[in-house]
Amino acid sequence: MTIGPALALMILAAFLPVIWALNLSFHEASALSPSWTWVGMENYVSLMESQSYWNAFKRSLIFGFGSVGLQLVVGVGVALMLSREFRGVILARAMIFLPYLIPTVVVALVFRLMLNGSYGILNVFLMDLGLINTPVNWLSNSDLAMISLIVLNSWKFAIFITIMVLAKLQSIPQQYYEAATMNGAGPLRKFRDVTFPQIKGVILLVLLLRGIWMFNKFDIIWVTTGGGPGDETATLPVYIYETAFLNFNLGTAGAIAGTLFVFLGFGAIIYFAGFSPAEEVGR
Amino acid sequence: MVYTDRIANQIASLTDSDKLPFRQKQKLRKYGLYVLVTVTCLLFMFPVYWMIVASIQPYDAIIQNPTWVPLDVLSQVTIGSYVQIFVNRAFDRWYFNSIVVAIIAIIVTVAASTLAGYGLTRVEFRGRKTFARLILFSYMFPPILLAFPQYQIWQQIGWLNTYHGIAIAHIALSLPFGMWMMWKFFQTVPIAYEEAAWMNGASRFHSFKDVAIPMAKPGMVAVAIFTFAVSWNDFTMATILLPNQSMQTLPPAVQTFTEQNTVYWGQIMAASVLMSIPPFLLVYKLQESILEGFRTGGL
Repeated sequence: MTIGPALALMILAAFLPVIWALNLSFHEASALSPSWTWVGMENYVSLMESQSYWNAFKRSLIFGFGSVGLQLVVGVGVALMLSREFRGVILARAMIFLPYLIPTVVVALVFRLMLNGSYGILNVFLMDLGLINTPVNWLSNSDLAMISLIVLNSWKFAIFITIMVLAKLQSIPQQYYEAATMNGAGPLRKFRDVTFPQIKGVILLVLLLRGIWMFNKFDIIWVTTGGGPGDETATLPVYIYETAFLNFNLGTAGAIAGTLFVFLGFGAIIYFAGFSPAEEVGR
Repeated sequence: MVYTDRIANQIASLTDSDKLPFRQKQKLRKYGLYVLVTVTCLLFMFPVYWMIVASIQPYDAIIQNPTWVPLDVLSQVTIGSYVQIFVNRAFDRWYFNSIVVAIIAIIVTVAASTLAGYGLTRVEFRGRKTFARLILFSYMFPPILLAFPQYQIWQQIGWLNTYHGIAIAHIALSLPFGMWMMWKFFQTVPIAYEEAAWMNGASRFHSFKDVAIPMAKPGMVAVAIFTFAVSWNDFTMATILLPNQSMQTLPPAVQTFTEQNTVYWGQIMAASVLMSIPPFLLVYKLQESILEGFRTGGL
């Protein structure tokens, strides 16, 4: 069968690792010694009782859904703007799509430089404009770090939503808008009654898939703040990394991965129930 | 009284755009749109501008008194940072590593997903829906969830610090999307063309190679671009699966340009600029076929 190679690769690189991690979660295992001891549900029980686990979970939710919320507002707004016909629209699109092509690590590093508390350009800029008097520690202030992280994360990924929504917007027949104008609809009515119903599907899909994605984001957080200040931005993926590679506690890391997996499963169930993606290829 | 009323009315009509003549209203809207577009473009462009600026400024200028004014920036341009990343750091080696890994990942992903997509569309088999769901479910797996157990498995089979080890890890991220994409893409290719080829005596292999593949090209290009983006961007897996510095790809390597309390921002930004160039070249060259591919692919 022609799906053989793909299936073999997926088993080796995705399914086997997931099973490995789940198996680990039922063992007491350290990266420093090769022996594993079966402990059943013990790792899970101690996770459920651990305050730091739930804090990390909460931060993941805030980061994930805060990011997607902001990205939706910005992404859809920009898409509506770029769907208009005006001179220079091609240039504007090219400029706005640019951030999406910048590697995530680069985004994290550029913002780390720009948001630096002592020599970051954002502070210089805001002070030149007279908006603030003293430099702000955007990334090392515990009240601001998470918000800064959500904003810089959205700078790149809002564009993804713009691209999706723009493609959808361009497929809406112009007649719909003409008919709406004939019937005296203003711009707001047109958005509510013509545009929104057409992009609703994309928005829901994005909200769910991207939400899960952002919930699980590791790279941008790790490079920008390393989970700090303190633990303010330590989400679940950061927690897994620290548990496995800094504390060498593989069993617990496996259990955290297991809970992530359950979360993913829930996401998948909603996704399959709400969008029946299998129908699309079931023909 | 009447007079002041009239003035008030005139002022109101100036500020209330609803009462403006049609043409002026259109004009006002147009300018409003341009202001909005310009502000948005500036917001999205500024970090890119700053990355380039920081890469061509002397170290002290970035740390001590950074300036965003273009004229001041131009007065102290230097390419020192670009020279240093090649002389003092193994930048060329990491660049090479990144390219090799991306190429392996692209070739394998495109080949495997084209084959799988073709088979899934053209050959009936039981459990096709389940398979579709399995693909989409694995599309949700985050890199950290895979990389942490991969580290231990790769350690056992000696795949840490190898090109194929990291490439296969990247394939786990790109293959679900690739299969899905090609599956949907082959559905848009009418089977009639292939049937015509069979009528003329072509074998299944020939009809696949000479009829189906050429028509599926835009889809394959989209899968290749997606895989490139995944591989070129990946930080999480490379950090975990490539602990040896000389084998590292760019994303984990770039952020190590620090010594004790000194962060070499100029060098980091120079490396960042050079690292951002390939995605641009690729996307702007292939813009049309990407859009075509992604429209069919849905996701």
